[in-house]
Amino acid sequence: MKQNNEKISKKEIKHLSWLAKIELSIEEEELFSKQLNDILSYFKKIDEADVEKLSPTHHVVELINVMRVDEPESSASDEVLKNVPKIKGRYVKAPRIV
Amino acid sequence: MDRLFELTAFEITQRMKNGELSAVEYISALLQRINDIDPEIHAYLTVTEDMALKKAKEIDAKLKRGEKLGKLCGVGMAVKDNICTKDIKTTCSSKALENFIPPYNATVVDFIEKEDAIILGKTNMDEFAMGSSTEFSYFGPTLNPLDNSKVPGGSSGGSAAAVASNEATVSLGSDTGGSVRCPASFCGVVGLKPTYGLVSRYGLIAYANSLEQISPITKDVRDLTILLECIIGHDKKDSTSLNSTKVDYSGFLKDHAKGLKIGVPKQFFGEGTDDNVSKNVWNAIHTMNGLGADFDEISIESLDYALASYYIIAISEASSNLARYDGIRYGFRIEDESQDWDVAFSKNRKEAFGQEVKRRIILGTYALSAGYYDKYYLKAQKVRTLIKTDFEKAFTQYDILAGPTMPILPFKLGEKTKDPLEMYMCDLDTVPANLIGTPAISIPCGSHNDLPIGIQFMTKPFNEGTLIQTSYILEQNLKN
Repeated sequence: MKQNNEKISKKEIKHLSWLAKIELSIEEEELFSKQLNDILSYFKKIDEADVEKLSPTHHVVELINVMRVDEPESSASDEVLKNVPKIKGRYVKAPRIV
Repeated sequence: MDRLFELTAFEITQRMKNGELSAVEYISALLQRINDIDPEIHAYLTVTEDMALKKAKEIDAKLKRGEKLGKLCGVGMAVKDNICTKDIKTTCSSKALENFIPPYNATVVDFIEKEDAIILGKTNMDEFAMGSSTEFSYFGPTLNPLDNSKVPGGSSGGSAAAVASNEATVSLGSDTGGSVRCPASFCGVVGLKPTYGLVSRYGLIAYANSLEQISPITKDVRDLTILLECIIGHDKKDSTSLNSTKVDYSGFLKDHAKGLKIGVPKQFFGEGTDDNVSKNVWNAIHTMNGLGADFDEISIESLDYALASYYIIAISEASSNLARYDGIRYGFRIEDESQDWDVAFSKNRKEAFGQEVKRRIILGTYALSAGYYDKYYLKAQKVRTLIKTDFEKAFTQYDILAGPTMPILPFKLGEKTKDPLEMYMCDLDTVPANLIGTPAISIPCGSHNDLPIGIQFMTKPFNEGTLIQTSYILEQNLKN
């Protein structure tokens, strides 16, 4: 794990934008590299908390495997397809993969 | 009476059931009100005039036939635009969903329609519910109806402004870190975030699943009990919704404060809290004390970490949730896709999302990425455990914890949009309830320079009754 004082560099912002699949403008890269570091310095406040021995709370409701009977219900496939931006017949068009 | 739009849901349902008021007459008055003032306030993104009038006619016909009607008989409602409504555009105030028409209803929408509510339209919000001022909407901001130069709060700003300006009798919002309580406080209305799991999230467009709940906004506490009863219930389509027993919340509308124990954590009045806010909130606490409630000043030290922990969790969940917006099955899609799929997706999402959404996705991606997961996400979840334990301890001694809903008064449009951290700081007092899943309410407790101030009450999970009782007592006594 890296040390506390690390900062997100512009190069890292570029990498994150690739991971998140959001192209950023040069202005946004510039702006975010400052803003995100400010926010991260604030987040570091939790470093002070002594919580190593505690288990994490991912969710306040403790549920394990909520099951139900697998019964078919009516579907609205025609209506669902109305929202597809690029469509050919009943085929959804995706961007080029290969 | 010509100002029918000023009536509460309780008054409306009573009059209709007594045959003193027709749904068409009342809904027409609300629609006229929207026509008159919404061009200025911009609470609504979509007004469903024809559907609303058609439903009103149906209700009048049912009344005429003497049929039994639901608890929200004829009540004109506004619904936040991140709650799916069949055949009504649901945009999340985002270009990504600008033309999205859901083929199904959120479960809460089915519930309120079953109780004969009438949907007037969909309300403005911060894009994907990310914000505290409703300024981060792709369709432009909503203005505070009490002072047009100020923000209405957010992210459910449209839903709160609609109720405050009598453009709807009641409304639904969603609360991930204060998104219903903040605008309720800034607009001078009542907003409650229910216990996590009490209300189905099916059909609520997800931002941070482990934190958010669909939440009611009303003019007063009595209306809140009516709406709350209608939206609670287990839903097999949301496995986190709980099988709770039905409660008659109107039974808690008692003006009886004796024996009530209130804890006032000093951290709720931390640095940056406006003096006028503190003064009014303390006045309310002293009023409760005068009526027989006891109070103690207490300290919950872990509250200092609540905001950081909340934001780390919220943005992490958001970065994962919003990965679904690729423009293939629905939503915004760019024309030119001559390059590879990952370039096409990246360009698509560049266009589809506003800056605050991008900021949170990028930062959430960072918090979840290799090497940082333990330091941010996991640590934040452990801090969440610490805060939860501290609150559980406090709730063994106190029925209610009280403090300001918002540390500051409604601020000017544009005042906080340049510095994201400054905007996040507004949520200091509201996020703890979401982190730990407890119910919390904001009700008006005074004003300064005609700007409303809200007091927040929190209580242990499933104890909404006590919140309602406490709020009702304060409401009745501040009225006098």
